[in-house]
Amino acid sequence: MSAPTWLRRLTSVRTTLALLCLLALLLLLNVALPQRAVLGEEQYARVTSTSGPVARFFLETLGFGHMATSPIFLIVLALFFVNLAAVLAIRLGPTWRRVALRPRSEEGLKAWARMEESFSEELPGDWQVGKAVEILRGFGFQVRKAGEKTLWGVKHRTAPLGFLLFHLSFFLLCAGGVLIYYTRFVGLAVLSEGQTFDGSYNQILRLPPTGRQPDVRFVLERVDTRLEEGRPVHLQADLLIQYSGGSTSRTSRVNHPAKWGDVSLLVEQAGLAPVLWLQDPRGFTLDRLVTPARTRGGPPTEVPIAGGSVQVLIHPLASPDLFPGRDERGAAAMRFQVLEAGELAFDGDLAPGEAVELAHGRLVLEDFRYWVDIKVIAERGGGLLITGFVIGILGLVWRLLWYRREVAITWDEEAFRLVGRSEYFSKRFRDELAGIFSMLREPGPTRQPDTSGESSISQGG
Amino acid sequence: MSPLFGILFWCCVVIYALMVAAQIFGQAFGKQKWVEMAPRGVMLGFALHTMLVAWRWIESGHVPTIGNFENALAGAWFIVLMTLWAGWKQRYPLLAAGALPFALLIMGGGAMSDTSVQPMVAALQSFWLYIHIFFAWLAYGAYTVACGAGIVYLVKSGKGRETPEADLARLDELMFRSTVFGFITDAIMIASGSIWAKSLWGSYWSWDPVETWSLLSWLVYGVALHLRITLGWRGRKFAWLVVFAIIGVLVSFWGVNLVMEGSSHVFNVG
Repeated sequence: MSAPTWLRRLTSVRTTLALLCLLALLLLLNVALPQRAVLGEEQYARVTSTSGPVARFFLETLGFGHMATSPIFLIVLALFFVNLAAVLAIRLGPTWRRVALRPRSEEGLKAWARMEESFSEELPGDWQVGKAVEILRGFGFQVRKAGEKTLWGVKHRTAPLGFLLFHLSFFLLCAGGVLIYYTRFVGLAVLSEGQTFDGSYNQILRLPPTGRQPDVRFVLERVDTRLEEGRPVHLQADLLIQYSGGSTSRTSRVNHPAKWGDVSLLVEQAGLAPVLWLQDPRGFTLDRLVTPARTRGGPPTEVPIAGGSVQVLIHPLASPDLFPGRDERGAAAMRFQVLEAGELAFDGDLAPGEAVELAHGRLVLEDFRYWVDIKVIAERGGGLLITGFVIGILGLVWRLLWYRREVAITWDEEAFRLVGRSEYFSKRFRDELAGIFSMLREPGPTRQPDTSGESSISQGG
Repeated sequence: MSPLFGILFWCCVVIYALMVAAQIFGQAFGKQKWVEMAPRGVMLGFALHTMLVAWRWIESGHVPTIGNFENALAGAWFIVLMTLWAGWKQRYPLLAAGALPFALLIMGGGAMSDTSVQPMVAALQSFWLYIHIFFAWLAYGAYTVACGAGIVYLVKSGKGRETPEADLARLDELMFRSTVFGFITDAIMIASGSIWAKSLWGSYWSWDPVETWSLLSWLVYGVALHLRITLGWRGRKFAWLVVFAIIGVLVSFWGVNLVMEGSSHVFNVG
């Protein structure tokens, strides 16, 4: 295959359409097939282990269970970008020429004006070039003389640049996505009020290929949360970020993560963390712990105390309506089951300040604190993504709404002709053209073309 | 939903349904008067619909955006508004018969879900919610108008029909313009949703089914625009395209709350 042929195929709109359709098909499969990113590792593993060989072939061998990294998806995406780059390279020159304020030759414009769809009329007695220019300018056209008796006008001549801008935005989005892929770290820390985060995550949800972890330390100072009708309407965590040489306060709310450099700290969930003391019969403390407990639904939280000799089961609240506000925690109660040496020693509700008497001591519920899930996220490339979004939308608006329109007026001793074309919205443009034509026919004051400064009519070349 | 609200809601649905039926009847039996009178009835229903949206807004204390019912109420309002506007601008009263069935479908689906007023949960307390949803409604409204115009086009240009060329040209341009408008607003909806997702979930894109569907339906309209602009697909071909493309939009619309219920990306306590 000769180079021009493959280049033509690569840059053809049919190739673009085929690739877009392929991408759409793969996105459809992304929704239809179980996805690791949506289900989570464990559930996804369960699904694949119970799947038949055909499903496993699609999910595992072809990688459709994680579409974003599936080799087929990546190949199609790469081809799409190659196609896009080739199209942009080829269209750059013609687009630039179209944008230039340069009319076609007078002969060409005259031939165009003789076409059937042009408007023509007997030349008015008071015909003046200046009036025609003024009318076209009134409709937003930039006007150039293309000859002795030919005017050429263009409106929104830069609209084709919108095409370049829109398609360029895909490269910015791609660059942003790649950068995020190689830098994104996500870790989960479950902290109770007063606890310090020293970099020990409860779970690392994502490590970037470079393995880089953010260096961030903080104290969870205070949590505020509120439920209405059992639904969470407010969650806020006050953090004290610690760094070498000092500390600074930050607040993280749902929808408003705390920021520290390129690190975001998101609060997602909250619950009650009972503060428990285990004392011996003489009142000496054997163990003390603050336990984030499942508060709304789910199985009881199991807490081993004193090396497992005492086992505490903390049950979730019977109803989300019982979730206490900050000032109501002193009167709140949770159901506790306490097992001592495997035997049930207590089963009932406990409120702060109450204790359970055990054979070898007592278990005291000192207080309820709040705990929160804090997602620690570090990544780069978001700026490129947002720039891509903005440029893409600007490009679309520029290209599709400020569409390019072109008109020509030619005249001789007997008649004048008006012809025009628009990139799209032809019916709308036809109405605009009819408006121009009707104004050209109307008798009006004669004017000389303004030949000074910005509004001058230059001879096109 | 109070009993009075419920009665007025169903009155509104019935008015829309009757007007759609009147237009179909008028078109089928050549009674042009029925076709031309129907938009007045739709306006009556729309006035009632507007009152219901305002009522719900005042009652809940927030823009009706929470849950299936409020989304249906407000989403259908945008569809009717844009249908009326496009029908009036294009002087094409029959458009209601093509576009309003989607509003009816959405309203009926919404009414079958939980209609109680729900508090504004923390996850939805964001400026981006309004941007995201406003542009989603604009996009879905425009796509529905395009689809409605496509259906009418297919009916009017069928074999044996003698529809004036100018009428068909007007419909053709309406399909295209609505698709362009929908495509731009859809892009803004996706971009704003992505920026919001970063604040809420910490990720611009999670390959969540809702996100993927939105991207998929945007891509489908992108293909439709390419076919129109570069390969010159017009008339019946383009009409078929916009009629089929609405499927993706409907799935996106209903998929949202189906997925949200089971998604871990929702703020929770406990």
